[in-house]
Amino acid sequence: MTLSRLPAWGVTTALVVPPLLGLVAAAWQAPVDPYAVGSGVRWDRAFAAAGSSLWLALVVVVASGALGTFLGWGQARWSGKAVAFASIAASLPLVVPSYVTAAALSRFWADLTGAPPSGMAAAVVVLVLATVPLVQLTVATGLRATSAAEEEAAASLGASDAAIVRAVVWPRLRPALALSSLLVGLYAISDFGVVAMLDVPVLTWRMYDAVARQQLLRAAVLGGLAFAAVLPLAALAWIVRGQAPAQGVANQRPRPAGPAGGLLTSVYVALACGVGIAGALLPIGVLGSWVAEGASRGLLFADPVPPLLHTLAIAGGGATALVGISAIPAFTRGGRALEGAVYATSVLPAILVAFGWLGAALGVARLLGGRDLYTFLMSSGTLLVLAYTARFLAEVHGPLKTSFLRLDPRHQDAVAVLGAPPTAWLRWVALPAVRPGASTAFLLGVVVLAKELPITLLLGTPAGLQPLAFRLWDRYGEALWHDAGVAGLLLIGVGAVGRVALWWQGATRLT
Amino acid sequence: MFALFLLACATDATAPEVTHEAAATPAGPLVIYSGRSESLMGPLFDKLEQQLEIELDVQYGDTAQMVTRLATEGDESPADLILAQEVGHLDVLAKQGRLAALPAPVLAPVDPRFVDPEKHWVGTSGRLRVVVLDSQAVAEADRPASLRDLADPRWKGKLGWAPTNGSMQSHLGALCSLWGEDVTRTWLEGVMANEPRRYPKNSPQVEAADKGEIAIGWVNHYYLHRKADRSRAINHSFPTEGDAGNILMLSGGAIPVSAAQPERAAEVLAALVAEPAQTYFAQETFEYPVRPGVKTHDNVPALSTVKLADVDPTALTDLRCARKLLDEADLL
Repeated sequence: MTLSRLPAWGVTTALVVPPLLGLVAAAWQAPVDPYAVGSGVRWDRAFAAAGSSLWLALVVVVASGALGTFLGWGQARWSGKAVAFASIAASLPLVVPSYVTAAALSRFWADLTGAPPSGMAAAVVVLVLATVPLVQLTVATGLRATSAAEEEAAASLGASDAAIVRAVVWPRLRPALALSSLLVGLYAISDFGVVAMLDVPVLTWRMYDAVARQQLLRAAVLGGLAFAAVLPLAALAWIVRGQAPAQGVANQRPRPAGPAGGLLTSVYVALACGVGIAGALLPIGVLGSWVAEGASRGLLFADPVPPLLHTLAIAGGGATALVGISAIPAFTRGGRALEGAVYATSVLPAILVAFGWLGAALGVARLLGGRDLYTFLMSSGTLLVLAYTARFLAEVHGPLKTSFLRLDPRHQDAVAVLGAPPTAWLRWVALPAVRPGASTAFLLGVVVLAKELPITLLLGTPAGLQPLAFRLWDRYGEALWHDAGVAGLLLIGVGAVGRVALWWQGATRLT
Repeated sequence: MFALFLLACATDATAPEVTHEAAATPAGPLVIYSGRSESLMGPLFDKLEQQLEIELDVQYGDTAQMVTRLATEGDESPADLILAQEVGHLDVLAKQGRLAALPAPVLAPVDPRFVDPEKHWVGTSGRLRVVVLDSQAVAEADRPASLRDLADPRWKGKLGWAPTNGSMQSHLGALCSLWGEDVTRTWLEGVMANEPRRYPKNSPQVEAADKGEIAIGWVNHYYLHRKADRSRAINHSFPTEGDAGNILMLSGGAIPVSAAQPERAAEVLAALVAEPAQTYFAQETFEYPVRPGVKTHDNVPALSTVKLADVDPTALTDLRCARKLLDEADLL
């Protein structure tokens, strides 16, 4: 069951190319500076921002890699209830959007010490908390794929523990660790929410500033530097992804977990719980304290229902559009080139994708339709949906593609032989086969879109949408902590519901 | 019909005037670019929607962002009305011929001091530039006597400011007029040598002063009044006669020449300078009304008690110098 590859390439190209063309178009536009100061490129500042982005990424990769590897090792190799509990605790930061953590921890530190934290240091801490679970899970999975038989054979030949790790475990673990490091690096360079909340002068935050001031040439240069920083990492991740070593042992079995020893267990539990507390429980507690303090002081709370409804509309409607558009490339068996194209814009910083679409829309409107076309693109949410789809296509592509692969042309032939109409195949065969993957893709879309920030800020507000992410951003900037607290807690709640639904769906599918 | 005439005249050097007539059936919501925050303007816009039976599509953002967005969009802009935290930013658009002349019903009720002589914008409320002090950290005898004192090294590590905020930019523009560009640059360098903490807006500075994170913040007067639960933060106007730190600034509104619904926009603008909205600004947001006869809040000091600087109002509209200095200092 295949389509011609043309529609798939058409959809993918239509999503990937315009933001890149928009970036180029913005670079060619005459700078508009009504203040007549001059919006020429400040190369020194652009390169300084690039240097800061790379430095931030490097520190986060090293710190997250070290801590995540230790936690992943313990999760896979050590037994005991304390270790099991701590392993779960360390994954709790996944529930809290990283910019919410940044906002909460920054104010917590300021209230504790009387001074706000240094932007770069705070950004490192928050991004490490956000990415440690990724490394931990990747390493644990990689370790479970190693072979106990190989390790036992090495031990029986007199190899020390260190030699076994070096010669047997490390070659199998290395690709997983390399991939997770590259993904962490991409995450750190592309991050917007954390660096915006903490006012760190890196590429993504500088780009948003430049776009907001319509300094399009500066924004385009910063976008080009972000593109140049991200692409090599993405290419390396793509290469490393397929380099898992071949299985060399028959009847492979993972090494059973064993006791770690008192001190190691204590250190593991302390670190893992520390990650969970700092990355999830503490931010939730801080947000709750803002709400409680606001209530106790009799402050007026802004109505949270409209932004909640906007969030649900964006998450639900956006995820529906995302799945619908993504179905075409997912339905097509298009090979590695199409797979690569699908992932192309997903590795770019979201602010770059949003800016690219903005530039493309302005360019198209000026060429073709004038104000009405531009107004329609901005106010109808069309640009918003396109930007979401370009940025998050890869998130939903995997589960969608998996479900479409279950369709077998022979089923359609069988239905035709039995004399049933084509709609019967659709109703009784295709839709039930595709539904699990499609619903997983939809829920994944809901989870990522509910908390999305930079695209929503740039393209959502012109469409009249002010979701919880915007409310948190706006109220935090105004130091209205009580309103920011409500928005943050609701945002975490919406994401948690989505994740629980995903888990429940996976659990019921196995039964 | 009049909207078409307006659009046709968009390139005319003389800005066309908007008539304040009852609009025909509105075509979609009225689009407002608001450089004033949702927390300040949202409740007022809700009331205006009910009062005028009109649907408003308000897009919030930094004033400078909204101005440059409008300028970039040009004739494609969907904005029917633009509200700025400081009218200097509106004057930038006026100089580019992007604003329509406002009708008499909008301008007539307003104190003439707060109306653009060319009739391209109208003030909607006034705000006094002050410093907010941590009263526990700054004894009365140590309080700065002049804005120039902020460059004194004794304030190192104790200052806060919001360089991207429209009010600070307008104030810098006024300093350029009063002191000249070079002296203002020197003063700015002196303040920067004190490593002021950077905040996105004015409210966080008031919070910071109240928590003792900073000793002095450079803000507009009303933010402190809006913080009902303050404990140690106080407003301070400089005691030096005619000091450059004591400046009254205006928020205001204007109608772009490209507006699709200029008559409706004029209705909304007229409503913003009408007594109910002016009372809202005075009693709810603690600002100075621009309409004669509307009383300021009891907690807000009368302007007659402040040693206001004698500054040419047009200096508050020339932001070129301010933006240039901020850009040079990498503060934007």
